[in-house]
Amino acid sequence: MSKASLILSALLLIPGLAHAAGLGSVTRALRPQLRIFDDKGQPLGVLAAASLKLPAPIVAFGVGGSIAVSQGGRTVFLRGLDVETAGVKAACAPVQSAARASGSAYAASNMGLGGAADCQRPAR
Amino acid sequence: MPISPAGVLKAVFISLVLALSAYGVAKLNLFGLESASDRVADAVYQRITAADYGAARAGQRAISVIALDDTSLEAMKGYGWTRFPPTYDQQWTMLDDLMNVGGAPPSAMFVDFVYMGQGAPGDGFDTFLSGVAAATRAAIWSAKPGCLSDPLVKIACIVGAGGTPMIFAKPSPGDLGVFPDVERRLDGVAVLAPALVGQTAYPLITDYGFDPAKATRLGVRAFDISPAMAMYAAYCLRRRDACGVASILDLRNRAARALQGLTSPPVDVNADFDAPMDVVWGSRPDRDYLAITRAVSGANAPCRAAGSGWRARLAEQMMGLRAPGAGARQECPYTLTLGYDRIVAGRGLEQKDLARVLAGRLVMVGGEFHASSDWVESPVHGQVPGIQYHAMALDNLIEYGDDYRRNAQAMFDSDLLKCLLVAALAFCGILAVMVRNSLLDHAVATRGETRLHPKVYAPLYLALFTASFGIVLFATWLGVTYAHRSPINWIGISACALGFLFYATRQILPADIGGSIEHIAFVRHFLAAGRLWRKAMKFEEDRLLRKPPASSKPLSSTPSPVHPDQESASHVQS
Repeated sequence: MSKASLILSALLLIPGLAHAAGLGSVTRALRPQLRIFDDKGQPLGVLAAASLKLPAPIVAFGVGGSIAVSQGGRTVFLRGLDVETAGVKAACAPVQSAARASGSAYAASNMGLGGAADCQRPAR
Repeated sequence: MPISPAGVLKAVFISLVLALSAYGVAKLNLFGLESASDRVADAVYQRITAADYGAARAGQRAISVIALDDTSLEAMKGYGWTRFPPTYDQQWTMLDDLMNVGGAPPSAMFVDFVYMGQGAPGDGFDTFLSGVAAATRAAIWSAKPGCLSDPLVKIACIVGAGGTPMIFAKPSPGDLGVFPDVERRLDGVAVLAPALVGQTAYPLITDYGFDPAKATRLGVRAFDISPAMAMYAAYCLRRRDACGVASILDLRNRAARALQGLTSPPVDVNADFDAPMDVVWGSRPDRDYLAITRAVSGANAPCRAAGSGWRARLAEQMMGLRAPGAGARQECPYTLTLGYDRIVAGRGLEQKDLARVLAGRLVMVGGEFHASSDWVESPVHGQVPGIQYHAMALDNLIEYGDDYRRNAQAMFDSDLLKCLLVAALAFCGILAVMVRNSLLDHAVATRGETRLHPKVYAPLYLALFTASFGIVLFATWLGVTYAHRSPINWIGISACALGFLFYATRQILPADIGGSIEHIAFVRHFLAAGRLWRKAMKFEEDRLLRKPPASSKPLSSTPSPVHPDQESASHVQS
């Protein structure tokens, strides 16, 4: 490999690693078997927790906040429920979901707080 | 001076006539105004006192709501939930998560989804069923006849067997005359409770009165219990004192015998839970809810986090400050509520949060879909999802036990009580007017004064009006606090009593007040203007046709006797 290729690879790799490090990492598996999904949310089966090399840098977040890690040369998406993470910040702000017309004194609008409607990713 | 019996009897007579009229109007319930007025009175009372509910937060410490809403389903696409409803397999994954991720299973779980069909072969109904059976330890109790005689003893058997009672919603057998096969199979491993959609008074125990054949066909075992009652039974069965409810203590003993294959006489729970509940809504949000929301979203809950006392809430009602609420003015849900998709994503949640929400809690799982019909009217929050209604009813049971607030409409003729109150207030009002007249007579006789002094009539009128309103409020508070009944129609009764008092004093009150201040020039002008105004507004003696001129020729030259009608007409005119 030429010197220029090495420099080019480093230039490409370093920001990616830095970005991955900024998303936090998976530090512990909470269940012996972890459900895994692809980037579209399709189930890929289960992954034995023992086979996950920890700490694993989070490389992306998927639909519904699933956590992507590299595993065996591919990216798999985990449920946050099944793993413990470090350095992941809650980066969303509550928003008011649409109120249901009620005709009463107080319109219920956020009874389901904790739903995705209440958490909107800030614009990048 | 002696009291005039005739005066007292007259006061009694007028009061009774008024009360009978009010009773007739109440029973007639024209255009539903009476019942609507009852509901408004209950709602306003609840709104004012909502902050005082649940001071010990016993219910909030025990109950969690796990919600699925429209946006949750969108988020869950990342985890394979690509259809609605989710497959049985996926739903079991959800229930299994709720059973396990808290570190310990919940005390009991209510699932507010109605299952009517088992779906395609690959949907995983058998997985779902076997998962539920394992959670409830159905293998231990499902073959014991003593455990199947009614839903309460079934719950006691599940608890006795070391399982977690799982209660699933079903359509009310009173509304739907079929019992689908899926529900029959579910009934074999879990407990089914009617979903109570559209109920205004929350029933705890429902006896449909079916004959044995029909009851068997519709899967009714002796009676049905509401979801809140089922969860409350599970809650109490795990407590040493069984919440102090004798019938639940009996239930525990009966289940122990049933698990040994012995039979026992049925437990009469109707004695403790005889009437439907008037669900009391609280307004102070759960502290855990606020903390978890902050942790998950990175911001405070977008609702009214700090509860205010009854004085502030009363002022808000009167000043119209609380129009349809939104944002920081919107009441937070009373029960700790968390979306399932948030649990799955886990962002901002730590294991201790999951334990707080799930471990040993009474977990209520339900949908909060905007397009569904499963919404109820909360006087404090507005329209809320049905699962919040069940959670609040359960909270009421934990807070009040068998002293829960009964729905007065279902208990006795509350109209009679209201009319008796109206009669009593009217009687006091009439007596007060008579007292005033006697005082005036006394003033004339002893001092030659033709008017009452303000220091005499002012306290009298003040006492009359404030005492009338105060008595209504006191009776309302007494009924709610000590008789455990929904509030009487305090708005209607107050309006009725005050209306009568204003009518009864319509002449003497202006005369007394006017007489005391008419020496002021401005008042004199004002009174003169008032007289002119009344004259301008008077129409009772007016005629549509103009009178014939006085000079017109009489019909007959000889005077004729005056007809009685003509005489009365001329008298009125004069």
